[in-house]
Amino acid sequence: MNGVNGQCRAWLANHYTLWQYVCLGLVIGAGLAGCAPPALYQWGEYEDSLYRRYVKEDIAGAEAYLRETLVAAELKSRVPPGVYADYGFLLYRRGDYVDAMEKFEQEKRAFPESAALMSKLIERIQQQRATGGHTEQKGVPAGGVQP
Amino acid sequence: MNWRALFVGCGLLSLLAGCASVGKRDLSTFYAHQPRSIIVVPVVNESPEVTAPAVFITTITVPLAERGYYVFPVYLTELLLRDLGLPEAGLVHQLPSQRFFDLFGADAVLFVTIKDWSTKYLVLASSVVVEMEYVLKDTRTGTVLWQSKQQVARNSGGSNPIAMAVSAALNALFTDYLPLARQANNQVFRPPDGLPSGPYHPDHGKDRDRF
Repeated sequence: MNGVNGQCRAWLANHYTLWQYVCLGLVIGAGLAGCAPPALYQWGEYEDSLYRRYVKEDIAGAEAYLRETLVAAELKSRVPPGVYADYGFLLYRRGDYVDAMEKFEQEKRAFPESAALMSKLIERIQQQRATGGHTEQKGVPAGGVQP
Repeated sequence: MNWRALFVGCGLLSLLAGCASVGKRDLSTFYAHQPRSIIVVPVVNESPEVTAPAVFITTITVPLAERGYYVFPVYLTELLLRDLGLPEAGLVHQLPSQRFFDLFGADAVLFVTIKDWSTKYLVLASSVVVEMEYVLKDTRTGTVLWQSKQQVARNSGGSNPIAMAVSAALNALFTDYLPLARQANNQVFRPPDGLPSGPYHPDHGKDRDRF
């Protein structure tokens, strides 16, 4: 009898905490629904991709997250600012120049604000390819601009 | 009972944080040079925590772009600057703002300085704090368009000494600053003290009364 009572109490205790979580969720949800406007973009794994690069120093993982973000965003809605360029840059860094240039072009079309920088990057890659170039091993098509 | 008070408190706080409108700030300079694009340059770290800038920079793009601005990719920006002989955030922050227009074509540049990024221990409770200063400058004129400071703190500890001791010990091992940085960036760009909506936001040009 005591055992059953104990179990019953344990069940109640468990479910009480569960309800508390549900309440907490509702309160937070209400707060968010009241204040936050709907997101402009689908960011997917974008922040994870940055975290991979900056904190874990895992470039391959970062690229995978970024690719997923891009594919999902293209299907659902507008690709967020910088995502084409960011992905293109990772492609460039591992020597995939053709696809890198395509991504830079896509960024330029999606966001004209990026046009000056994207054109600079594309031009730089074209120059490198014309001169048969693996001259820039540091990984950034930086020439032509000085600080 | 304690729990219930906590819920209500949290609920009210989140509502207030999201919606309350306090005071007015002078944004006439901002409106005179309204930017479309913002470049976020590497962050200066004044805290003793060396990993702070890397964690912080992963959380800045989304909230800023969601305000309706074009945000240059932070990783690309950092590596381009590094290749231009500017590996140090301190050096980047000293560049004339015009440079960011010449190099990137950005309308405005956002300088962030981490002021605090630490965990403080008080016997059994602990408090995690992140604090940042944000300065947005016009790249053509170098004028400050907007600036702000944001601090987020999270206290842990409670009425049960054993639970507190355990949580303090765990926090010391795995202090996770990421959610705090994210929260700070989510708050700082919103009305009433944040940035007016940019050109990709549906409220662009219609939200002056909220600041």
